[in-house]
Amino acid sequence: MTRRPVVCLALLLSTWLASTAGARPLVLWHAYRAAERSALEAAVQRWNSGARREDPEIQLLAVPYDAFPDKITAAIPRGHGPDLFIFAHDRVGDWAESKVVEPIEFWMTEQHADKFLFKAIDALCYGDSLFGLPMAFKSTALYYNKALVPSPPATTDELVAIGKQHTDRKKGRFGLVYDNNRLYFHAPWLFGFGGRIFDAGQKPKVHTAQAVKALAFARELGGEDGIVPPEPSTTLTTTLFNQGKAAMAISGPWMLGELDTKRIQVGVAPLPTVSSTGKPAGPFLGAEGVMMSARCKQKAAAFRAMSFLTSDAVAVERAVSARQPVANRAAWKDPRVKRDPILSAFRRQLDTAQVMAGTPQMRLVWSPYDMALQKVMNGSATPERALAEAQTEIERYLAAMQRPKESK
Amino acid sequence: MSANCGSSRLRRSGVKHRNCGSSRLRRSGVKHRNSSASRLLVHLVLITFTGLTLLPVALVVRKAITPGQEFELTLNPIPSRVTLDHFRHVVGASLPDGTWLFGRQLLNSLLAALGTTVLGVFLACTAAYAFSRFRFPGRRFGLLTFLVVQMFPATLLMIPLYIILSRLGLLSNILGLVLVYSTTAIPFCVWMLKGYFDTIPRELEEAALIDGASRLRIFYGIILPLARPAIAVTALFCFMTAWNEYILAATFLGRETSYTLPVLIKSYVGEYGSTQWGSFAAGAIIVSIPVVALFYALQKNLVAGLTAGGVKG
Amino acid sequence: MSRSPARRRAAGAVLGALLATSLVGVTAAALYLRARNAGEQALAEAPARTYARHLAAAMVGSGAGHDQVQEVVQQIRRDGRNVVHASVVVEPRSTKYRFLRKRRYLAHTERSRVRQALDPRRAGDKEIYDLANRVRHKGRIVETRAPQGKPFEVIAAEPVRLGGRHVGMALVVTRPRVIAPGVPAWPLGLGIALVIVLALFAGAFTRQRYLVVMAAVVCFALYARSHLGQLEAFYVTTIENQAAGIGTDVAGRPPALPGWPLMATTAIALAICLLGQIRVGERVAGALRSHHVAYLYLLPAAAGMLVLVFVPFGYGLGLGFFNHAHGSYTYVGLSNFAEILSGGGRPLSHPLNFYFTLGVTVLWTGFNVLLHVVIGLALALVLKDPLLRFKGVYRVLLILPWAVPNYITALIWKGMFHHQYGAVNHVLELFGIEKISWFSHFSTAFAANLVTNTWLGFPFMMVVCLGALQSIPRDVYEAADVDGASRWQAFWDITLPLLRPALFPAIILGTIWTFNMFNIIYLVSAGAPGGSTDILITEAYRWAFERADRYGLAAAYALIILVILLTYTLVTNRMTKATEDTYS
Repeated sequence: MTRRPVVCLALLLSTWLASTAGARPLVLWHAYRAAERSALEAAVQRWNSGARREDPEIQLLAVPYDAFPDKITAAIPRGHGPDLFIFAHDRVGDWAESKVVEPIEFWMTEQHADKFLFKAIDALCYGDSLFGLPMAFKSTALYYNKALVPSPPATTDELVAIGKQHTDRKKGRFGLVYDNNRLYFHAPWLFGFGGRIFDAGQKPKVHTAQAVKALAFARELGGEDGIVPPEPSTTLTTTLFNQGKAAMAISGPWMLGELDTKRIQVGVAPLPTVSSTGKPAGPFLGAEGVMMSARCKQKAAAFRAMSFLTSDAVAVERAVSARQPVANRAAWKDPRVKRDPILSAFRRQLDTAQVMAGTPQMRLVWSPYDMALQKVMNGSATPERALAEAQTEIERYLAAMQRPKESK
Repeated sequence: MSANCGSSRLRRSGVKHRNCGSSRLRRSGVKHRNSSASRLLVHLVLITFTGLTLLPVALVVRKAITPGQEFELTLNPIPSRVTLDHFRHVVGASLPDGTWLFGRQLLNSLLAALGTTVLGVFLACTAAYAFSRFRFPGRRFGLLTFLVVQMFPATLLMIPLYIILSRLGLLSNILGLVLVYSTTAIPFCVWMLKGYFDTIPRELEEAALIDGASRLRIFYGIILPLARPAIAVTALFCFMTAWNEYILAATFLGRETSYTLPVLIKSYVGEYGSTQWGSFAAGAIIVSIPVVALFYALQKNLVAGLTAGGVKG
Repeated sequence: MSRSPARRRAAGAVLGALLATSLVGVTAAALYLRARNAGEQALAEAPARTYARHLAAAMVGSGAGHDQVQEVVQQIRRDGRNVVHASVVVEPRSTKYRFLRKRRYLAHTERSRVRQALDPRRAGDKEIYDLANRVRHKGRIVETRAPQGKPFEVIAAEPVRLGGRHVGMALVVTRPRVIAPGVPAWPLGLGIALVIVLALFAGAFTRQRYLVVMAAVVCFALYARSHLGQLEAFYVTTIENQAAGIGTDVAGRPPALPGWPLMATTAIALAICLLGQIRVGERVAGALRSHHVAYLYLLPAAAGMLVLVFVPFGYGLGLGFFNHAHGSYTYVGLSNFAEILSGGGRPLSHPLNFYFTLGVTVLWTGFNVLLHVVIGLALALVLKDPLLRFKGVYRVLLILPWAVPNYITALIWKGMFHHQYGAVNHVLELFGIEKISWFSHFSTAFAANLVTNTWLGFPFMMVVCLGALQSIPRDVYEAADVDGASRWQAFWDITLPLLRPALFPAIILGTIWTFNMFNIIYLVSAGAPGGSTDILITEAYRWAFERADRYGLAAAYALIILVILLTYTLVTNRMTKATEDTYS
């Protein structure tokens, strides 16, 4: 008879203890595959096993990349979303406006912000608020086959010269391969010729003289006498480079996992300088960050988890095991990371890379610009006309976006 | 009407009538003078056509057994090097704590697809029977509505479906998916079955009614067996709809152990189109096998429907 | 009917009067509720708004002098009823990082917090910090908050600028007493239900009376709207008079009544007229009685469809009337449709013009359905020949294009059409034809899409035809045989017509699916060149997900697609009347 109350007390005590020990786990969604996924899982395992009493566990969910933004936009406003998620920064503006992500700068200090590379953390800002902590940065760079190209070109003239040496259309071999139908991959030439996407007033202005010159250069590279194959795509980039049919390629860190390093000696270098302007061809910089959902119920704990995942120790592990170009300054001083020539190349590329704006206006620019690139590459329009048409389209979208709203 | 080669239903039950040989040959469209030559021609055409049709599939198979994760460009369907690593990688997908993900996801897909088939066929059979046999107000309107809801693209309906399922509490649940898939597949099934039911002569039912059978018995005992081909098509279609569906599964399911197979396969496609082609192709092959197996099993029903009594004429 | 005509007319008149009254009552209730809620909200918000403005003015006037501002904060606390919190938050100039701003309280109703920094360890400070950020960018903010289990609160925040620079925010949080108990919404719903039920059973109405009823309702609605506008103005003036006590002027405008109650009423009245014309009530009751078996068979499917198909469908239909920006939807009426149907201001040959895309879609659908049916039917006819050996093998092999998921085979096909490395061009070279750049011209890109979709679609048609061919009795062929018909005649005059009932649904549905076939166009040609091979559905998708998130425009596109397909179905239905007549 006396055992029953003791049992009850014990049960009560254990439930109380369990409830105070980080009750609900933090749900973290990500779109990583392969090595990056294992690195993230290892980091989460470290957090879970070393968790303090008030820190909840992290529960991971892998979501396929193309379903990710829709899933976030559908789930979070209805309360079914994760507490944290890892994604690229380019939708931060939209998500901030729709109150999907939570501003976190309240918990930040200057020392904490100093730990990260400035461009990486700046990319996750919108409207003077910070919405995430950067895990890694991604930009394109110049891949080259060391057997065919002993030293990478430093200027575009060298690039074209080397490319022409290795181009033989009949045999299906090309000097350079990259997806020249997309603004994301064309951007280095645009910025190298001094072009910009937005004018001083933050309005998209794509029809400029420099942009026309950049497009003409791209057309030279990709035309009938050029060094880039027709109808390229990211798939073709990987395939041709892997089979040794392309001497150089412009792609990002994601291609590393697909390369057969036994067949090809891969080297990576920052993109060359444009000879006619002397400016470096700086690519778009994307920052991948861990962001907090606006509906998170354990915000302080979530921030601690975020800080852990982006801490220096974890960053070094990610850089070493998954070859992620991490965003922590201290990680780049680690000897294991410094030894990796490819990672160092991406780090050097960061210096000339331009952050992709995460604003809604930027999202309007991609589709018309891609269409303009397509038209120029298949020869159905001149750069001048294609950009003019793209500008008209963008202005139409802007007008629709800023339609005066009826008041409630 | 010649008595020997009489009832088509009897014929379908497999009873052979040897004296009808020549007219059978005639009906199958082959002139019996040049039978072997034209049959050879038919086989040749069929083989060429099948070969051409299968070429892309062969390329997928080749990618699944060739080492390396890049996209192959050559036309030759015979691989130079063979490996089963991609299949091992796909089938061995598991969580760090040791849960066999592939197994769970295969089970989820099977449950969803079989559930959709059973539910979809059941709902469609009953509705199609009502549309076919009864004349009630709202019949034309109902038929038309079933068509109309097909005309609206599903991608835009994802958000309202999400809200409805979350209100019903079925969000990360196979049952929720089964319900959505069944209702998506019903319109085609209803139309198909209705068209087939229309071809079944009413005299059979009327005879059975006079004999005193209830509507339900007629439905189960006479109509359904005679409509086997259409039910086979319907079942195959429902299975396919549920088995291959990706975007709703990826959005509604909230745990990796609840995912279905298409989500696993699409997870090999990453950002900027970078894809692990080997695993992607191996996954696609694995996912196709049950469909082919189901078709093989349903073939008999599709082509040689059985009869359960009921003689015409 | 057994009742005499006079009694029926009298019953009709009474029902009509009831109907009119309830309609009027429902409209009035809706408008009144709307005005009252708006008034209540204005009443609740105005004090907070006014105080916040007063506080901000005091801050500016005193040049951020702490004592003066603290004095005003305390005065607000004393004067203002239900004031929970008042404070002024200031911030320094920005540091190296534009997101790092230290904010502290200059004045606060709790004296202990004066001059203290906003602290992550204090609950509630983060919300104030985030609010200060939003105020910095958006200007004045007034919000209401009703957290669960806590009383209803109104938050008013006013930006403060000193010397042309934004220096902080004045914040007032009040907890207003609710003036009168909230009016629940269920009587309104009940009223609408009552109206609809009455209308269904008012079978004795004549057309003229309905028009009179509708006219009366419309007039009343217009009158009620203007009158209730005055009612609202009264609410707001009262508040303003109360607020004037602290010595600041309040400029407020009564919120505008949206037109939806008026539109809803007109819609209900029109629906009632239409229903009255066909005397739905009598028919529904009668039908339920005599056809209950049929409805019972239909019930399971209908129930599932109602919840999971019709409701989202209704949502999608309605979405076409809204414009979406940043997660909020605003009603824009028909402007989405106007934009689409006018071609968006682009010339007819421009790929983004609606009519161009429509032409491409019709062409696409026509070719595809034709090819699918021809190939599927031909294969089914060949493969059902009982004398052909290895039929089963052929059938299983030919179903593979349908079995392998189309997201991978579409990409394989896209690779096969590549200009340099594609298999198709290699084969052409073998025959001595020059390589074609498939995706640079409309015709070749269209052909590439067509080939891929035909490859994907014919197995399904083949399976359907195989099943359908079983429905044709052999004795019909024999009769034709005896009559001496040739093989071709047998096909044309016997097979085809008898096949129609079972094939017809597959063709109609195949047309609909092909019209909306998104995957192939998106994956194979991706609309190249320049968006010209895009069909309506891919256009809609791009509008929704790639260009500016315009879900409203995409839904309008979908609605137009629906209207086109519906017209097509109705027209073909009338022309063929295939399903029933063949066996009669």
